[in-house]
Formats: sequence, C-alpha cells, structure tokens
Amino acid sequence: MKISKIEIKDFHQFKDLTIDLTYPKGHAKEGQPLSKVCFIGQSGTGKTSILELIPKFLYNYDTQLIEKSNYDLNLENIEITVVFGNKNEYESKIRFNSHKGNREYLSGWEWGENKHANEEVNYEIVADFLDNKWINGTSTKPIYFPANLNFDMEIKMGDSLIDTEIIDFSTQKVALVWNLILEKVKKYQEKELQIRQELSKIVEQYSDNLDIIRTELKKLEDWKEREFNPIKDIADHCLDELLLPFKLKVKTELDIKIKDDIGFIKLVDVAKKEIPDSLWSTGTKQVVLSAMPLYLLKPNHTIILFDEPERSLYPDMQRFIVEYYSSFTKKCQFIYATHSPIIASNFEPWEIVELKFNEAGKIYRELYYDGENHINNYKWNPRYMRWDDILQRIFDMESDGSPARKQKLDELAMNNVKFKKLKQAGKEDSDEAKSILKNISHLSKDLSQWDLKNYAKD
Amino acid sequence: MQKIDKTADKILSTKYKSWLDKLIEENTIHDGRYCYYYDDIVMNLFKCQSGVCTYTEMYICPTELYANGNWTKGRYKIPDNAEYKRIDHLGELEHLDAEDKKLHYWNWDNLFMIHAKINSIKSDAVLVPYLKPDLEDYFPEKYFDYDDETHRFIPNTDIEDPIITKEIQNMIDKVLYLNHGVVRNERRDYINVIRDKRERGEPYVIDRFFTSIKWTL
Repeated sequence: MKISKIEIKDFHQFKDLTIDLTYPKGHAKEGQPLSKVCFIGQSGTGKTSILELIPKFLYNYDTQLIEKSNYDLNLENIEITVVFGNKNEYESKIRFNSHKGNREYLSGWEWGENKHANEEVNYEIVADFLDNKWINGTSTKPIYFPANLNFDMEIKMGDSLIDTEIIDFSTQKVALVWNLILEKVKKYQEKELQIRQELSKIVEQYSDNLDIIRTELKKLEDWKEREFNPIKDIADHCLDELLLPFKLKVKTELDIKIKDDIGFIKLVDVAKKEIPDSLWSTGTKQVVLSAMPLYLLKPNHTIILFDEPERSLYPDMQRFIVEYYSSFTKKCQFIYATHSPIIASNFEPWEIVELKFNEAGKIYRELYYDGENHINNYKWNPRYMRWDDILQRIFDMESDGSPARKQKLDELAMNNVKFKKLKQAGKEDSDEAKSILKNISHLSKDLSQWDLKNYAKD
Repeated sequence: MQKIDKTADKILSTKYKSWLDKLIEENTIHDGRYCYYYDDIVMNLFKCQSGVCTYTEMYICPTELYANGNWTKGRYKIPDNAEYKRIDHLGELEHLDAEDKKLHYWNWDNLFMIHAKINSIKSDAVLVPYLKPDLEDYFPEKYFDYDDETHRFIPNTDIEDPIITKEIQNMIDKVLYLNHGVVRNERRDYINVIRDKRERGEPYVIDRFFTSIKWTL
C-alpha cells in the first residue's frame, strides 16, 4: 500500500493543505506514488503528526501520540488517498466521518471513492481484494520507527512482537525482532556445539593421528560452509557494512561457555573482543536497531515510517543510510521526517515535502518548481547540491556559518572597503592603511581564507 | 538596493492610477479584498524595478511579462496563449509602511515587489523610512558600500554616526537580506560571469544585481 495524496482542510496548524505524493510529469513513473518521501520543516510544522496520522487512517491504528491526543482529534477534515495492488491498480480515499452514512466502515472509518483500474467500483470489491489477497497475502505490515527508538536490548526467549495492525516501535522494543530468528540461531549453535564436542573427543582419542584430526576438522568446515548461519547472514548482508565506521563487527563465532545465553546479537571490536551491550554507543544502537528489523521483517509492498533517521548518526553515515534501508525492502514506500540536510540530499526534489508556516501560523508546502509540476521545472535537486547549498536553499539557513563567522565576514568586508578607499585616495602607505591590512590578514586567517578573493573567483 | 523610479510617467496601468487618485481625493479607506487591479499593479511595479526584487535585486520576473505591449488602454492583460502566465514570477507585494497598508492597501507609493522567499523570512520587519528606494534623495552609494572580495554589502564606511551604521547593518541583515547566503552566492557568481565576459570581450547584458555590478566593474 502506498499513499498518493494527503488532503487536510482543517486540522490544528494545517489549513487547506494538499500534499501530492506522486511522481511529476516527465518522470518515467508519472502519476505513480513516490517510493520515498522526505518531510522537512521547522519543529512544530507537523511532520511527526503526519507520520502518526498515517497508521490511523490506513489501519485505524493509534500510535502512542494519537492515543494520547485522541480526545482532541478532529479527523473529519483529513483525507488520505492510497493505492495498492501489484500495479497500484486499486485506489481508495480514506476518511473519518462524524456522522454515519451508508458506506460506513468501522465506526466512521470510511474507504470511499474506490477505484480499480481507474474505474469506480463498490467498496466490497476493494475490501475483498484487501482482506483476502493484499493485506493477508502480498503486503506485509507497515513499520513505524519513531524518533526515540527504544534501545532496551533485554529480551527473553519466547518474547515476540505484539500482533497489531502495524509494527509500531513507539510501543514495542525493537530488539524483539531478534526473536524472529532466535530459534534458528539456537538450532545452528547447538548443532555446531555438538560437532565441536564430537571433534574434541576424536582429538583426544586420536591425538597422534593428524590425518584423522584433519578429516574431522574438514567435516566441521564443510558443515559451516553448507549450513545457513543466520548470524553470519545478518553480518554479511545487513550489519557489518554499517558497523565498519565504528570499527565493530557482528560476532559470528560460537562462544561455547555461554551457549544457553544467546541473548541479543553480539558485537566484537577489531581485536575480536566482545563489546557488552551496555557499552554500545548510541550510534551503534541506532544502526543495529533500525537496519536489523528491516532486514529480518523483509517488508513488501508496504509503508515504512521513519522519524528522524539521522539520530545519533555521524554525517558520513547519513549520506547512504536511506539507500541502505531501501535495499532491504521490496516495492515499499518510505516516509521520512528529518532535520538533516544530509538525509535530504538522498532525495529527488519532488520527493521532498517542505512544510512551512505562513504569516497566519498555518502550514503550507513550499513548492520547488515554477509553473507546471514537471521534472524540468524544478529549480534545484538536493542530490546534486553541496551540503551548504542545501542548508541555504532548502533549509533556508541565512548564513554559511555561525553568527561569529558572519560578524568576522562583515568586519573583513569593512576593512577591505576602507583599504580600497584609502588606495583610491593615494594613501595606501599611510599608517591607517597598514593597520587595516594587518586586520585583513588576521581576519583572513580566522576565516580559514576559503571565502576570500581566490575562492570567490572559482 | 537600486534606486527605483515610480513617478507618474512610469505608470502604464492608468486605469488603476485613476481609480487610486479618486480614492485619495475622496480620502477612502481601502483594504486587500478588492483585487481588481492586482496584475496592473504587480506588472507595473516589475516594470519600474526592471524585473528584480526591490531589496536583493535578484531576477524574479521575465521581461516578457512586463513588456509594453501587455498594456491596452491603461489595463494590463496578457493573452491566454502567451509563453509566460501572469503568475510565472517569484515576487510578492511588499508594503513598506505597515500602518499605511491597513488604511490604503493599494497605495502605489507604498508598494514594491520583493522575492517571495525574502518576504517569508523577513516576516513583519520593516525598512527604515530613509531607505525607501523611490525617495528623491535615496541613492545606494549614500548608505551602502560593497566589498567585491567577500561579496558583502556593508553600511557606507564614511557614515560617522555609529547608530546609523548599526541601523543600516540591521537593515542589511534583517530586512533586505543582502548578505543572505543564497543571495550573496548568486550575486558573486553573476558578477564573476560578467567579469569573465568583459575580459574575453564577449557581449553581455546586465539584468540583475545592478548596484553591486556598478560598483565592481
């Protein structure tokens, strides 16, 4: 399922806001829902609210935020258009009605204006497809990663994700996904232990016969090569690449002493020394606990909501994390909310929804195109821009550095102008001019010289 | 911020002017709800400003939109099949005097076109009266200097009163946004292109950043 449009007539700070989430004209996927969306905007512009309203409309599911504010919600003025099916051939407009009409579905939760292959159809046709083929067949559950992920990694054997309409990590521990493969891990480790124990006996018994020992060792190696190792699989295909900047790896070797306490995934440093969970950095926790669920849950044809994916991540990692997450999923729609220009640089301009306050304090979407919504009419593309350019053009940052830098630049400009005026008056050798030149030299040094004449002529 | 000539002989939207003159004569209060002459005002302002933002001098309106041929019998009207539509510009109306805006919304003297983004970030900050760009004694050289190394505007270094200097600096930073990162970068790049063309002896047309170009070339 994917969202193609959000219309909010009146809801808190939103007024007459329409957010089109389809590819623009001139794009190969023109009119199709976007595969990834990035909400940006000042705090308070409602990015998280929109993220949390999506499960409410699509699955009538209350996230923590919605549940807490339930009595204040006035959802009648919101409509969300969704498309689904392998070719996005089904479409419905979802709304909540305060009054009960003929097409009522679950206490005012209504799926209206239903279409199949662009033809209007009855709700029953859509519902039949949704219930019998789509939601319980092709499409997996939506996943919500809130900004404050639960980093608690204490889990018990048998604990599992609560069976709700969506996988909501605002209410559940992310580490619970580990139990999806814990049985497999345990079986693998028990088998390995059994082989090693047999090997030990043989080594003891035939300590003077190297050929026999080599043969048995080869058997172990062959088994390891043949047998699917769930931990090595996660290491190779999901986590090790992400952990590289932290100089860490997933521990894939069996530790016989603690075989009954498999617990959560273990990490080792470059010296192969295990790092206790409690000593993992928040960045390490963030990458492990965000990437692993996507890898293990194998999302398919669903929506993944991700609030502030940049949390605790060093800028170099923010560069590729969005593509990395996408690589674990099939035909999904990612909806991010971020404050990071580096995260934003992973998106085409039509994938960015910038929310801003107007003079009346209401929210509008800043459009990045002039005239018609066509790929050729977009003014800039964050994917090809420098970080500082994104900060200034997209995030509206006024200056290219701190207020202190701005002040130094003003001082430098003033000294440059004063010196030129003295030079024009033939006073470049005066004491005043020399003093100004000295100031210029100091200021230039303070400003790392990059913004001076040579740079300006680049 | 260039000097802008909005005197009567620059007004092509004469129907609007007659309407306004009558309002002034009858001392009638008017607000923004009556938008009959909106395009007449906007396009005539662009004509007076040469299609650039009053404050930053960024290019915000194609010349085709305010060409003389778009006025007939004192009214602005462009054909439906014209290449540029009436909304194909990046400007917004700026009322310099907020008090006058409340009483005389469509007062020609109080109106200028500025870049929509600048209008958004400046919010309700107002320009000091002596910097009104159509005043007879307003000249950018009187109040500003331009450093072509950092490409920043600063208060004229010859101004001796530190209060005035501080006030102009505040206007540069908080109203005009002359040194806003994007504005500064675009200005720097534009000046460098013009400089290069001059050095190579190639033809060039200056259609924006008039003030800084005048000081740097």
